[in-house]
Amino acid sequence: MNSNVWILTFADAISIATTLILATIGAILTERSGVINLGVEGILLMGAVTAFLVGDGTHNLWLALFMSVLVGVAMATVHAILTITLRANQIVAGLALVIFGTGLSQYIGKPVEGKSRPVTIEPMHLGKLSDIPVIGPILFGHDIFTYLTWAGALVCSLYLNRTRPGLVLRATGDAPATVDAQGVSVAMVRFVHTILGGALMGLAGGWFMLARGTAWSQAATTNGIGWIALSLVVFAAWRPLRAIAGAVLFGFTLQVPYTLQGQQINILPPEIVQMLPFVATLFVLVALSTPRARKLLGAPKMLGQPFVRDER
Amino acid sequence: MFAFIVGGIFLALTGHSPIGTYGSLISHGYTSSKGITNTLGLATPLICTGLAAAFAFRMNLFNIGEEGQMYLGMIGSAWAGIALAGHLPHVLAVPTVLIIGAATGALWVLLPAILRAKLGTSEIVSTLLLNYVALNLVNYFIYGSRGFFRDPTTSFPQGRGVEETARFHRFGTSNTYPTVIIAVLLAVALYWFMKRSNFGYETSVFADSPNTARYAGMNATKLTLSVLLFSGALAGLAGAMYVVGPAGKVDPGLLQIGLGYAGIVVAALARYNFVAVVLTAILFAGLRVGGASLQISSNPVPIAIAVVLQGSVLLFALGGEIFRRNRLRIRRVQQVSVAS
Repeated sequence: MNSNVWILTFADAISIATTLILATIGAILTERSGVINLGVEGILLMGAVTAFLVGDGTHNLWLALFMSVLVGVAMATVHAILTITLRANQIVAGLALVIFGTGLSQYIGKPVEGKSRPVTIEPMHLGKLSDIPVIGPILFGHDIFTYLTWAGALVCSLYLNRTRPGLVLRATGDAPATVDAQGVSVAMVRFVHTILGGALMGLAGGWFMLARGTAWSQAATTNGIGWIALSLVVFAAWRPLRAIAGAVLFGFTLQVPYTLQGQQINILPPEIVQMLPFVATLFVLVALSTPRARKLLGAPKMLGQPFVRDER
Repeated sequence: MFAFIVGGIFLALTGHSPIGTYGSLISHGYTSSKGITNTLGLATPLICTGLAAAFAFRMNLFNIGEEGQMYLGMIGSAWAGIALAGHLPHVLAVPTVLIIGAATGALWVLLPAILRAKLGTSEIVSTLLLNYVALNLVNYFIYGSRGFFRDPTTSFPQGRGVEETARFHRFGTSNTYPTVIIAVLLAVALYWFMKRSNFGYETSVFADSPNTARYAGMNATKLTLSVLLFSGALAGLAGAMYVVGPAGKVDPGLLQIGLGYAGIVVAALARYNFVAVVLTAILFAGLRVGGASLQISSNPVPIAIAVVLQGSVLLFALGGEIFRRNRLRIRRVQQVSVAS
């Protein structure tokens, strides 16, 4: 086996990480406001199928991605109305979104099942930077969205920790009553960030389809990435910058099965290797559950709790 | 009801007549005699996964790994059906297979249950992740290896059949098996047990207020473990019923239907009431059976429409719940004001 393959694997891991970072940051923003949206997998699928269909119809990359963002917004709005306004159980509502999204994406994607992707997000060539051996392909051979996503994580981190709305957001997740007493609408903060999060998740799905997917197929598109993103939120301790490191790590576990398969390395059967990302995620969750790790993590204290004035 | 209107809009947008589609969905799913037995046959495992979800959700334990636990139940019961059933008399064979299936289902939730009970790890993500592991496990047994579960007599990848004694006979020519009676009895028994037993009382106290339960000296670790394990066993039983009933082997076809996820929807719609789970499961199975029949009509409608309908039914039901709850609250306030 030559080293080129592993360079490519690393490059692919970083590339796949883009979806994970986008979805994870979306979930972080949502959860920081105290809302848990388990519908990530459903939103990713809907974003992906939307990007595919719009791309197929118009051959316009930007329109395709824009529409998947809109779909993400729409689905997150449903979640927000159900859980914030109507105070439905956030977990059940999220699961309903997953089931709805899985069914609908399969339904509207049926006519194009197996068709190859209509428009492609091309990787950029950054002149001499991309030609540096080893580092070039790993760091400088990606498309514009990958770099924008990294920048986005930084912006998001600054927003959370260095701005006033970011402070209000963190407070809303930890102590909504205090925020309410300050005269800020808890519902408004939660609405805005749930929807913003949904937009990022929709984009994550659309990007994944047009940059990584080859053909539309329900089973092979997101394949559990949404759930991995939700675990990543815990892994990243609700901090956007740590999400990048986690996403690359998990991207690697997602990519390794394909590399092994491509190299005809059959130490383990492919079905067993496919379990790797999920088993790895599970291990990480376990490791993070020890009481000491828990103290360091700092989950939003009122995560999943609807806020009702006068109730506490 | 609104859900069907939403579904109708999607149908109309994709060039299918909503009324015609619903008409044939209902006739194939419920009203024709063939349809209703198909529906009951499919409802059987769905009742079990629905009970599994309802049982755990009642205690605010969100086991969403019914899908994987059901696969493991299928694997475990197929093992028993191949290896053990031949040595047992017929009356014992089927119960053994069912019990072993339930036990393997419970085994699959053991790790998330221990994590939840001892360390407080969210059971939502851990049970869900194991679904994907279980899915690949079934694929491995059937497609990836030529092991124990694979039919050795043919090169076509399919499961090895269980002993005939380990299977139920269907009712007449229908697609319904006696397991449906077991599933319904189980629902009634659970309803009664949770109302009357000490265990049922403790779980409901714990669900309402974990602190109260702790002060009253209830053992939260033990409760959490037993509720999750039992939930897993119910889901495993769903897989086992599939083996003793229609499949008779480890059948990757089960992976396509998503009965575990549908069980969660069923449980939520039934508001975690075990008897209501039975009715909701039958309703949902009818949607699936009707949906499947639409696929083979002249203007085929993808079966996924049934899933879309399920999802939207649940979303609207969640939205509608607030009105019920609020009415309750208003009345309570009035009572208080009268008392004062």
